[in-house]
Amino acid sequence: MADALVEDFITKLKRRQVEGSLVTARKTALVLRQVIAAERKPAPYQASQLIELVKNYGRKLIAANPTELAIGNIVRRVLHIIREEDVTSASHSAANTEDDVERAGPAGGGIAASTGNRTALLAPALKNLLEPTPQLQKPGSDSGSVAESESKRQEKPKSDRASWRLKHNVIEGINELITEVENFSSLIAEQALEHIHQNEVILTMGRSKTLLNFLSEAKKKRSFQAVVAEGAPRYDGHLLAKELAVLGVQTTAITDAAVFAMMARVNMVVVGAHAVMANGGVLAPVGLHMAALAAKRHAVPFVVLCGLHKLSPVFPHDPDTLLNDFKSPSGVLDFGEISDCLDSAAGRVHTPNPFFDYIPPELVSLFITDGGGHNPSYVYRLIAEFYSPEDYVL
Amino acid sequence: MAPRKGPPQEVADEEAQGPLQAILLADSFAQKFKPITLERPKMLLPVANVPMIDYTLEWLASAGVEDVLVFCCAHARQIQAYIETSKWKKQPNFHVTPIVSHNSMSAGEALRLIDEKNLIRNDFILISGDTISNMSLDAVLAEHKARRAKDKQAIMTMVVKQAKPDPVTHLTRLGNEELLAAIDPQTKQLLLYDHGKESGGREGSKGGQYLGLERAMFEGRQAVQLRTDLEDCFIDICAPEVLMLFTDNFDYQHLRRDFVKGLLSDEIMGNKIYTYELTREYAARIDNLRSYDTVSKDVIHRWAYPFVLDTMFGNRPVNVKLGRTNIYKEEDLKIARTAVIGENTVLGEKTVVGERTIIQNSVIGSNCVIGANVRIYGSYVWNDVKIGNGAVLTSAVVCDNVLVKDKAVVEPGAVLSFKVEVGGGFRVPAYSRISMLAQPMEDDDSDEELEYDQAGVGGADAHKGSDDEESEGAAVVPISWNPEEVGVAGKGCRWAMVREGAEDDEWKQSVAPIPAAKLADLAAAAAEDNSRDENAMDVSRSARASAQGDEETDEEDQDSEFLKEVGGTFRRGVVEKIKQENVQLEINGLKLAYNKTFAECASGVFKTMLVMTLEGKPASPAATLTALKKLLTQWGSLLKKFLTGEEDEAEVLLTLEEACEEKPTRDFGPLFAKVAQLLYDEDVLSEEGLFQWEGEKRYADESDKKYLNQCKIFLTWLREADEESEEESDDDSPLPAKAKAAAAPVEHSEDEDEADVADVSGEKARVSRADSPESRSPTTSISGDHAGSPGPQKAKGSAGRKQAEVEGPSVKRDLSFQLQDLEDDEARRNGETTDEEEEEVLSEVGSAGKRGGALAKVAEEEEREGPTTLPPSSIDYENDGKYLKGSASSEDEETREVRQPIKHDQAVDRRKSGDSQSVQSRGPDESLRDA
Repeated sequence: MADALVEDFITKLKRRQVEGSLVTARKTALVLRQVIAAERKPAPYQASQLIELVKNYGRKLIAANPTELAIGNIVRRVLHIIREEDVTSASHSAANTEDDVERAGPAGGGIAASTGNRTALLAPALKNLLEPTPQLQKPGSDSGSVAESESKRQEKPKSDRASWRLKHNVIEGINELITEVENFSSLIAEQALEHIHQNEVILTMGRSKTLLNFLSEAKKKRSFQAVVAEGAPRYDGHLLAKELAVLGVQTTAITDAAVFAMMARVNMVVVGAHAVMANGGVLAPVGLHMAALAAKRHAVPFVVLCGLHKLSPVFPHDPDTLLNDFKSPSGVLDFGEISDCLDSAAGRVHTPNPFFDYIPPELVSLFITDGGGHNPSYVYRLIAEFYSPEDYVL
Repeated sequence: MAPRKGPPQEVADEEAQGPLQAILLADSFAQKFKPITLERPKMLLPVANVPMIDYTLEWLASAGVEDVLVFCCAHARQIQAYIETSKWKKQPNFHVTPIVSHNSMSAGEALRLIDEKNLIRNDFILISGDTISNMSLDAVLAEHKARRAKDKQAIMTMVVKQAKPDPVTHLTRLGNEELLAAIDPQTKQLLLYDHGKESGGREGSKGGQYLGLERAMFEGRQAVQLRTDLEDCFIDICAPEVLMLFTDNFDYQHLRRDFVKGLLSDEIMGNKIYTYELTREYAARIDNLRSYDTVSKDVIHRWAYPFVLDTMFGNRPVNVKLGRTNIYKEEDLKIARTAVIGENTVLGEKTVVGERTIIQNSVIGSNCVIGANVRIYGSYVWNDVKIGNGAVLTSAVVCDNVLVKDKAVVEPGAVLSFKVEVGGGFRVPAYSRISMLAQPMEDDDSDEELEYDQAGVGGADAHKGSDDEESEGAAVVPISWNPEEVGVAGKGCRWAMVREGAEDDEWKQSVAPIPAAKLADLAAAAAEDNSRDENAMDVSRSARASAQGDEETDEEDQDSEFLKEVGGTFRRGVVEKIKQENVQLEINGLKLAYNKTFAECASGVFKTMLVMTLEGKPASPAATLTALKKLLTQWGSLLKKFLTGEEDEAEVLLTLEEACEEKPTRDFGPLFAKVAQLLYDEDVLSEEGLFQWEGEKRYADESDKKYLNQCKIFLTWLREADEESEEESDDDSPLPAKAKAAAAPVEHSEDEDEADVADVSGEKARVSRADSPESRSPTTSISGDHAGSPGPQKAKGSAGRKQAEVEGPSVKRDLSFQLQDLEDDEARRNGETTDEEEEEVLSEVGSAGKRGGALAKVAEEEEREGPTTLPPSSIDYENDGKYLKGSASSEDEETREVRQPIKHDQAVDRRKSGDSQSVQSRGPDESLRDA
């Protein structure tokens, strides 16, 4: 069942039927929750098994559409949840076993179990060198007396319960994650009033739901002007312009090419993003790099709205090929008009239609996330907060 | 596994009403890919390393189709095996069911078989397995269903794609003739489908200078668009009735040539076809090697996104990396450091590329070994191919397991089928096809039906072979290879051209780009046609005559066949003394089958009469006449039944003229007047008919008037008799138009012809050439505006593009089948309205000098009093009528100008004052109501 679900999701990802970071993030979390819930390995099992499971599916999902970084982010978030839960449940059970141990006799079994559990999860890393290795610990716990084996016999039902609790907690954690993903947009919008002031001119490009929520929230208290660049080749800026006009914002729609000319009159650029890389760089719909440069030139703040699920621990080592999606050239040229260019005898015209731009961190003034506003230089800290370093490379 | 939540919502959305079904024809029923298709079905041939059928299935699956019936014929087992092992069998919500038939030879038979099995319950999608598309079916299905809900007869929606309207481009892209379609822009109903000679339409672009439009087409329509900027995607949304239609009409074979044409010409059933136009989405069908090349390039250029290589669709779980300038690299490649991989190239997994090799614009399959210093340009190299050092491949198709030895050269357009080996240093000539299988010996008959047979036979042959890969090799081993064909130590035999005499055309449908010289020729031809459009004023009579000559020969086949049939039927009737009614019925049936008019039937019958008369070997002219008289008294009434008006009667006389010129019945030459009188006496002809004929002859060459002069005395006598009976026969009288025409020859030619013929010469309709930047819309509209408030500036009710009969009987015959409806109308009009007076104005639209557009002549009729009862259609010349020549009027320029110089100017003025540039007309419905 879970497999079928994953396969279905993978097919949809491959066919690009599911696109957009919010949708994919949410769907990924749902699928992983399903996978974990359906896992019926005989207890007791370690969190590491769960982690392997999630990693396996995660790799498949990521491969289905590598440009949707949100998939990887959610997979890592889920892994992080499992690790966290494991640590807490381990310390919990450690407390329990300590009672047993105290009754049974002197042995560092409880601590050994917890640290053993913990280190078993840890991939080789620099900091692990400083901690005691499980190999050292395990013999210690195994070399116990009869009381040890007794406690082991007792542990069986207990760890059953523990693993059940672990799973339950993990699923709870994923549920929270899903809610977080679903609500990030309103959390970001709440901060709008702090950033948009009366009579300001806000420039934006393309359209995103977050952006619309943000601006409409600001509109409730402030009166400001919006300049919307159309966002070729998707032209979703047209739609945003219309929506803003409906909201009562004084809106101007311009072509992408007019962004620079318009920038002198703008107080702030606010855009949505597809993903935020580990270095604070941004993957955003194509055309935004140009807008960011224009903003830099005119010393206009360039503000990026992004949910925390878009925060990716991946570094942009080859952004223009690896993490970009090249769409059909029909967005660039109409089929009918180009037929001459298509003629192979005359040599075909290349019509790449990339979907994303990479905006380097130095062009970004501020990230507004559901966790508040942050500088690009702070991104590494956020990443450390939400992901386990072991999962950076899946 | 206990699911905590139901399946995601998307799945639920797709299943609105029963599973969406598709019929996928995994057989093209053609042999354009021979000899490759002898060993592997076309649907399994790789396009950029992925079998064609995967593109189709993946698209269907992603578009929400849940049930695909794959019809396999040739190589059925290979296709079945492929489907069984593929991921398609494992997909939830997507079922692929192979249907196997070994003896179906056409799409028609396949559909009849499927109908028999009763597998289709809902609207379905009909495509062939070589279609590559990324369109979403939602919109077109919704449109189709909405139409079906309103009108049960809207049984099919055809997907078309806008393309560049240029015949050269059509040829260079897909190797096809240009499609000419007439579409109602409001309802999107398809009214005319003409796909060049392949589907039996205009014979190519050269010959078909003229196009007949049925008048019924304009009935009740605001406008009609004639479009040449469409590509047929061969994706049809069909109602279940379509299958029934195939079962009912067992002679439907080809989807387009038979079925669509049959549906469009059949007014009795009233089934309608609609179109759906793609703008941004992609769809194309691989029909021949040229479109194989083009579509491969489209895929590489990502037009078919998301069905591009790096999305890992289909069956191959191979990671493909996309580099700049569309270089796709699969895994485990070994590319020498000095090798140059150029733009638009696909390299299959585990392929090895040697030092200093250059590969550009090519697709290389998996496990290929390419030596050093090899040059590969624009070629398609499939899997497991070995190419020796220093070999050069240019625009070639190289199938699996081919061995090209060192320093061999494969010239453009060559096809090396499976396992062929090309000897070292050998030069494979351009456009040659080499296969391990010997070319079957067969009569090279280019008849299409036979081609199906051959395809079937070939398929069966290959099927035997393909059951066991080895035995197939064994089957051909005995042949000793001819080193002249494949070089020393080479293997394979060279195939002669698929069709005799097609050698010249090989370049049209090969993978190689069209040679520059040919392109220049094509462009020149197109330019010539263009200039002809623009300078239509200057078109000399000779040019026209030659054009008509072409047309004549084009249609001759069908005509003569029809005449033969009619003659045979009639003869049988006479010999076997069959009842007249039955003979009439039979001939009527033939008329429908060949889409002819009554006049043509009459001509046929009459011609047979003449032949039969002479067959009796009458001793003297007098005896001849008596024999003919005998026949006429007996069968004259039958003849009369086919004559619905003066037009038809004149037609009979024209036939007689023709007969007098032709060999078997030349004896009637001197008897022309006598025969004419005989016909008159037997009541076959009325005097109006005779006058009509006389009128038509008025402007003919002197040589053509030979028979007219013969009849002079007879005609004079007739006219005298006529004048006696009717005194006021001249002006302002409710005299039948024809009589007036005869009496007042100046106006005559405008009256007489009712051909509703838009003379859309093949090339002229070629809309929106690059040289007309101001006219972006490549659409020519013909509109019959019923709302027409009759202002003085607007010319009301043009009698259509009237056809003057001047140049000879052949023209008349070509056009006459369009006359039928008009004649009915005319008859009605004459009966119902008597107090009308008509004045007709010939106008030119978009004169060459001023607008550079094609000449369009519209005969406009303007009413003065009383309602007009003229045909409802007129031409709306968007783009100054540049593309559509509104008149089939074959009358001379001079005569027209002499006659109507002033009115012509008026007409132009009128057109200018009307901003809409459209000639409004009032429909007969309305006018009849007024009356």
